[in-house]
Amino acid sequence: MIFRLQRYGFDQSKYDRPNRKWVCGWAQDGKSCPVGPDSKGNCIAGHECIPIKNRDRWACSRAKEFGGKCSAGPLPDGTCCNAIPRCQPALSIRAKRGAVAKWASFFVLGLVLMFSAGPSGPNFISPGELTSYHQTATQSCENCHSDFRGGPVKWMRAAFVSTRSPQGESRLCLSCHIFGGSGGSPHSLSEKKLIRITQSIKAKGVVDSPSMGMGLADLLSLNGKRGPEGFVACATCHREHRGRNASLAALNHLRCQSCHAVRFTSFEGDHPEFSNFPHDRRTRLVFDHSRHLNKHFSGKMKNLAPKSCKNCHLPDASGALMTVRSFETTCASCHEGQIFGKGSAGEKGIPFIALPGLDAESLLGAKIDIGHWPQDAEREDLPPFTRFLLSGDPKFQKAAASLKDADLLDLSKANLAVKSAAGEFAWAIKKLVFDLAVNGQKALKARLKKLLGRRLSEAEFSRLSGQIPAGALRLSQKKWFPGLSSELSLRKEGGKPGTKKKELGDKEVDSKEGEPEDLPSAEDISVAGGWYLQDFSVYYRPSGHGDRFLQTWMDVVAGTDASRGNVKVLFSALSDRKAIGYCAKCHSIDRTGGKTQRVNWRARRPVSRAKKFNRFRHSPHFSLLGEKGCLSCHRINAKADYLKGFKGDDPTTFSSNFLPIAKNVCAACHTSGGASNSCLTCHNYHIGKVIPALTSARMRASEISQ
Amino acid sequence: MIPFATRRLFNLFALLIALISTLFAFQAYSTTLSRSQYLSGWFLLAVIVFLAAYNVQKKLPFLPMGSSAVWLQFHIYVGWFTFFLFMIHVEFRVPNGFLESSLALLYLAVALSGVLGLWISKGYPQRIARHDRQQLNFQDGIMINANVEIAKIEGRKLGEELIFERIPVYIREVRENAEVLVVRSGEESKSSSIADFYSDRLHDYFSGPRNFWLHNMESSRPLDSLIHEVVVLLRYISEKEQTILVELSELIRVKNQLDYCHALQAMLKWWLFFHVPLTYCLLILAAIHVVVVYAFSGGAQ
Repeated sequence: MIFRLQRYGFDQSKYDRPNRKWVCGWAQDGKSCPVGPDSKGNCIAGHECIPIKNRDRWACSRAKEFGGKCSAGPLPDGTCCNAIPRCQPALSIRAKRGAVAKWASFFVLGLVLMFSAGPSGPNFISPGELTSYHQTATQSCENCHSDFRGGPVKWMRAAFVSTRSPQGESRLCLSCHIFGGSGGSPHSLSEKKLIRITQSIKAKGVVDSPSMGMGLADLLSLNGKRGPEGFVACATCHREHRGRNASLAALNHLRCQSCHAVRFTSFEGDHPEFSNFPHDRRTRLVFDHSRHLNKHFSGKMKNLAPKSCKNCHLPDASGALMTVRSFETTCASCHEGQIFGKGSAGEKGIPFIALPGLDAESLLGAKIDIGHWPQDAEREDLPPFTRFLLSGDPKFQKAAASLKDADLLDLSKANLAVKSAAGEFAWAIKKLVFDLAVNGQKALKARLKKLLGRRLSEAEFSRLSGQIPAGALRLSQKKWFPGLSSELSLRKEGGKPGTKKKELGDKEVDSKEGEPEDLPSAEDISVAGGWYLQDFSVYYRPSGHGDRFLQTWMDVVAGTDASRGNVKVLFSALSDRKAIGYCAKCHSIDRTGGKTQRVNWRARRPVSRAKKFNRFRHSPHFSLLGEKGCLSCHRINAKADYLKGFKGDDPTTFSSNFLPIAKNVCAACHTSGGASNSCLTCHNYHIGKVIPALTSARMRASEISQ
Repeated sequence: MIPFATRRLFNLFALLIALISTLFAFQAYSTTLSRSQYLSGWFLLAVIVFLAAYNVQKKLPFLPMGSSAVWLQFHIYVGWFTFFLFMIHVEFRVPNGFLESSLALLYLAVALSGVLGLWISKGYPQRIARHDRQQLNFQDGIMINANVEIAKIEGRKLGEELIFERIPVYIREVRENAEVLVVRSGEESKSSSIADFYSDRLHDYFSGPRNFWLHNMESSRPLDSLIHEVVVLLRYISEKEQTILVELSELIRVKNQLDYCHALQAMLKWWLFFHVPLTYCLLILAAIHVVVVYAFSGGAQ
């Protein structure tokens, strides 16, 4: 017995239509009706056949595949005798699958709408947790996504219609992370500067050798337009929503080169050679390593020489920069005495107010009345400070200009105009002395305010004045010009103060009158620095390294427009390498603007929140140094004319004591298989000063106390 | 016609070329400042839409869109390709947002159901054909004791490729034949042994498709169990009844074969109950994902 279940004859089996939506409800039971349901799933079965009337008889018309003609035949009224029981049509498999797909889609859509419109919507659509830095700072999505507030309708609109500024949402980032005016531009640099840098790099003629990926991107024009005028959105590099511990700075370092004019494949390979690294300017402190090592630290000074680099240099707190140790630790043993003027042949203090010698006799002969003028005053010219303090007086300026080539100590051959100018010159000085004697520091402040053209803070003036004692000023006036008050009153009233011949000689006031003859000079006893009166000058002697009086005067004068008054003369005097205090011997002076300068009081030191293109941390590299120590990388350039670089005030024109570090020194370790060779290992993207966002919340005492 | 092995080799080679090309293209794109995820996302979505279009092609056979066989080949290999694109898009990490995780899981579910479907589609037809040729596993001793030519039914092939929708009809036919035999045994032997056996053990067996999962697991236990009981019963019944029981045992085997065909053919259809609906869900979530991404793109370029 062999079963042949499948019958293929056209009249032996039913023609199946499995792609129909509905099938007979009896099909699962193996006995589907020949008619089947309609397209809407209604059972339309009636009888197994529709009998055919042949003359006056009804004949069965049941198809062979459903059993052929039945034995009973149709009923007398022509109705088939085999009624088909009605069924509940069922969905075909394909239709069931479609229904499942439909309901699953509705279910998912419903879930999404329910979650996104509900209170947990932000969590639902959030692509992940924020980094821990932003977890508490951004309490709502709208802090970083401006379109969030509008809800799903606005989200849809935002997705299809661009309504944002070119800066996009980056402006929200930049409201907290402040990079200055060019925050969104590449490297936070202005377009002008970027163009200049690009042009200078191109001018070097370095060959652009992009990696294979970059070359392919160029070929496929995938790079897009990137230039100095572009705005680089924060999200281009910084990817949020990647988990609490994700790195916001992690990125493919090859992307750094997307914008660059000269590209390369790897650091150890075709990265351009360093040019003068790490020297991008002259040192702030003038210290010739080569001369000190080879010349100064020899002979009897040998014992004072530092034993190693760390005697003078130590890493800062971050381990990045090698800072210079304090003056007291490093230079003081040899140079401290110079500041006090020890061993100096000339004056040890700076004359602040001083009388020049004046040929009063010749002036009297020319009937030019200058009142009393001490005959012992022998200084040939006015010291810079006094000249500066007088430079606010137009009459003095005019007189000084006329006396430019005149010999004040001998005016016998001078013409009347010069003599007349000398008279004005003398009266201007007397007025200054009187003013200072009467009004003291107040008069000094008023003059400085006028001369500098700006307001002085109390602290600044305190330093500028050096707390000059009123007693010294009054004593100087009393000794130099005893009847100055009446002389000035008479002159003011148009009278003649009376320069009498006898006063010029015998009755001269002796500045040391009443003092023991064997007393040491005031200068000799002012060993700790400060003010002293000697002869016809009021002096200031530096009180040691970091003297606030000298430092402030140099800063103020350097930062003042050089064309103003006698600023230039004063600054030249103070900044002379051999000027009293020897400030400029070690502290270099940089040009900062058109007519202003800056004195570098400190060696390079870490600047808080300021970043440069290059970065290097010394500390991690100490363990790599061999016997040569720091000289492994910093090799002294014996041929360099180091001091020549300090002749001008341009810090970029220099000659370093050390040879530039070659790329291969770094590339020995920083390879793809060794220490990192990523761009970001040695370069910062964000350069310049990063300013932290400060809260602008108003202080309310009542709330704070709570 | 191109042999299957050659075709597969060619397709695999084409897939490999596509993978390498895509990898290089994305490697290149990742060196630019553009967000490569936007490109990979749109590319992935376009490819998924193309894969989903296979369903449309099936529903609209009258359109000149190529043969279903060609579409299937593309569907399989492009499907493998999407997994690679998916990994590029998620940057080889596990997404951690709820929506994105759901989307990733949904994609993986669709992909896995596709792989399962591929395995079923490739393996099950062969299993059906192979099973058809299998012999019944009677024990020799029992057959001798039964003193009947049970061996006649060994190795007999069903020899038919059955249309899935007609299997209930055949089951019904087999059941009706079995019932005829049971009635005949009562009439001829005046014994109710076979009738009792039928009502106890075979009535449920013949009433519809049975042992779905066991057949999918290629288990012969359902048939062996019943045949064993048949063999046991043979010892205690008359010769007339034995003849009828042997015929009944053949119907048991035919029914077993029908169940096997039903189980495997059902799997061939039912895996799509996961693959297709999940695909629609995936497309919906992907569309929402695109909206969310563009709405909150945060100034990305």
